Amino acid sequence: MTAHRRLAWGLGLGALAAGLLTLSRLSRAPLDPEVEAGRRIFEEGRLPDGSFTQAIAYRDVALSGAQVSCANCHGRSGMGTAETGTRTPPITGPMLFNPALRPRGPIYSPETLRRALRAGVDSAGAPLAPLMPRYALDDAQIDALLAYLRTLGAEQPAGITDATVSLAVAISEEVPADQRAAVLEVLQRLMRDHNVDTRNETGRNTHRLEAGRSRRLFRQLQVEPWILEGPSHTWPDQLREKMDDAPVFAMVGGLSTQDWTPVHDFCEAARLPCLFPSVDSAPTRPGDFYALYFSDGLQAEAKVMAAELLASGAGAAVVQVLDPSDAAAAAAAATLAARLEAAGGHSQTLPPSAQSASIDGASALISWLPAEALRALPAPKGPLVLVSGTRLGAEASALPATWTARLRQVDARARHLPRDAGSQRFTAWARSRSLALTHPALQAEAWFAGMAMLDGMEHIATYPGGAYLLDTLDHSSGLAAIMPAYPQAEFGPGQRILSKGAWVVPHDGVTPPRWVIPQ
Amino acid sequence: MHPLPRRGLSLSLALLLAGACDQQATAAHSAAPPGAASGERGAHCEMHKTEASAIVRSEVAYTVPDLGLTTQAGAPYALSALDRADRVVVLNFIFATCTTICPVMTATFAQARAALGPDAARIQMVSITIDPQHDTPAVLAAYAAKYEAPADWAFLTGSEADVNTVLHAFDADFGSKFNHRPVTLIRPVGSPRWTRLEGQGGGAELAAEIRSHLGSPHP
Repeated sequence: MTAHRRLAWGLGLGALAAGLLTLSRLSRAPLDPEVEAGRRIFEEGRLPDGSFTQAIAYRDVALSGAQVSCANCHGRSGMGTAETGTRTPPITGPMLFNPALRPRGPIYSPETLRRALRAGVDSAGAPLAPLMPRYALDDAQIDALLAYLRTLGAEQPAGITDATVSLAVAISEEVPADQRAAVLEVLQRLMRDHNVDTRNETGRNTHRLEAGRSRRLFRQLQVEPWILEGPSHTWPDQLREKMDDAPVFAMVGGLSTQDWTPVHDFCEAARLPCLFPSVDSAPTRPGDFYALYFSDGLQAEAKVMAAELLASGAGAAVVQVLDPSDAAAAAAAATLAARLEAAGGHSQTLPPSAQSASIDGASALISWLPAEALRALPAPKGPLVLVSGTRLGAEASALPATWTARLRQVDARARHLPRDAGSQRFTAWARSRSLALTHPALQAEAWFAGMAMLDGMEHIATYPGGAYLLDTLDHSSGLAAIMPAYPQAEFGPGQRILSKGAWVVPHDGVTPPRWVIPQ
Repeated sequence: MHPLPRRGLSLSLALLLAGACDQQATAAHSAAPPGAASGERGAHCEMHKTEASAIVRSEVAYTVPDLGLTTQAGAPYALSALDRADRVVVLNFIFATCTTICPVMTATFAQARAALGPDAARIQMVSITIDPQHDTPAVLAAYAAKYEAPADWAFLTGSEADVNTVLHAFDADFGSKFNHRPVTLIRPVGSPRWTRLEGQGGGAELAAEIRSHLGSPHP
């Protein structure tokens, strides 16, 4: 390892080539114990014995644990951030220890790094900003941290060369061919537009090459479909195999009607950025980092529905209608049922063949059905009908009047509003390229995923890395303005689901729609 | 209505930190900080200097908007209560996922509270989220627990529109949460004027500032 590290620093990152790809695959294996101990201090603010790291900022402000994890301010990548008017510098191995990357100040030694961490004095002897915590870390703990810092930015990530970036779009095989083709065409067209090299960017890759300095490289982006076959629990093996055969730097977009959890878990385990798949809910867990989602979709709708039912006092005997083969809807119905039961309510689930007798006595009717199946249901007599907008796939105003009067559409997308800026921008982009809008909603989502990818790559061209891509996107507040369909999206550190609520749209012609963020 | 700076920058500290700032700029020479265009770097550095070196203090009369927010316990909170508070109000703006300054701001509040000892019962701490989409009462309750904040330290959220109105009213609308800057507002009992502290200092410093408002309603 040491020899490789020296090589990496000596040559600069940009000069590292295919030989290190093998190494980067090793990096996905468990870290050695000292590096892992350093990772916990860096990412979690935890010492090897499990206790929290302790530190002092601003002379007397005591902080501990995640508040003073290095990643909290310097990012998971260690590449630094600019937030709240305060810029935190990069602290990866190359940034601290490579003289070529510290032209105006001395590089750090283990001794000056200890002094920086404990006393807040930089490598030149000047005080660090008072916001930089002064840490209570012993020599062994600092050595572990140092060992981890040396791994950051030391290797070219898998799927990236000096000339290319390989990307995948995961699509499960049940997705109809026309949807697949439409989404793939959008992504490939975006990358092709990027790759045309109109300003001789590729030629400039060889200009101004300074010894040891990293270069801002122009790379061609390539996106290939990864078709996932069979039931989703068999996907992990398929994903690992594909990654071994032809490694990718990230996944962009994605299409499936099945449970996306295996793909999500693969992204987290492989530390692979996975941007904005078109899926029905986001299988993300607290603390997850590598996958970004538009919305929690059906799950967000279920939580908002539960709140609506409880607020209306209609939670006593709820009937939820769904297609038993629709696993995502069944999971959402279960979430709703659990929330009702926690508050003393009750719900039962019926198939679309349910007869009016079993629906009429309900305190409320919940639909997880597409429009045509919903129309076929006996019109409800109960006081309250909540309809999943994600499953309806349209505006409920298209339904017969017998339905709409007492109906509230609960929708993760803003279907009732005029078309948003993101969708408009996508449409203009597609029209100017004569792309057929065969599946405009899915195509717009794929377009946004591709735009986010391109935007992120632009920022990390000099120091490409998966964590750095996510850190960068966390601060790309401007991107949210072109997110299609999903309302009030916000990027930010720790935020992995960008649109956090659902619209409640009554169709009584009186009550105005409300945007609700579930608790 | 205009802020009247009483105490400017501490010049020596500012000069000292100018050096440190140069060094950091060097380290980041070719690593564009996420989201920062190259032209912004100088500005960030300037800000860093002033922020790190001193607190800028002013006195401002604010019109507290008459609207309802929600506490970390999910209880309604009428903001107009601030105007009638019989305790010294100490208020700031935070968000739960903020990485750099917020943890320190919140910890400083906690530290100042501890430093005040029994006098802490004479103040009302209020932290208002600037990210209401993410910071639901449950999120804020978890955030407050991390700092062992007592129940009477209100962490407030609300609708996007209401929070924006509040930020605007207190001249704390920084355009984006990523430009969020440390501002502490202190309202002595019965005073229409608030003391506005721009910048971040230590817990003892904040406690001393708060203490100076405890005795006299109109300093």
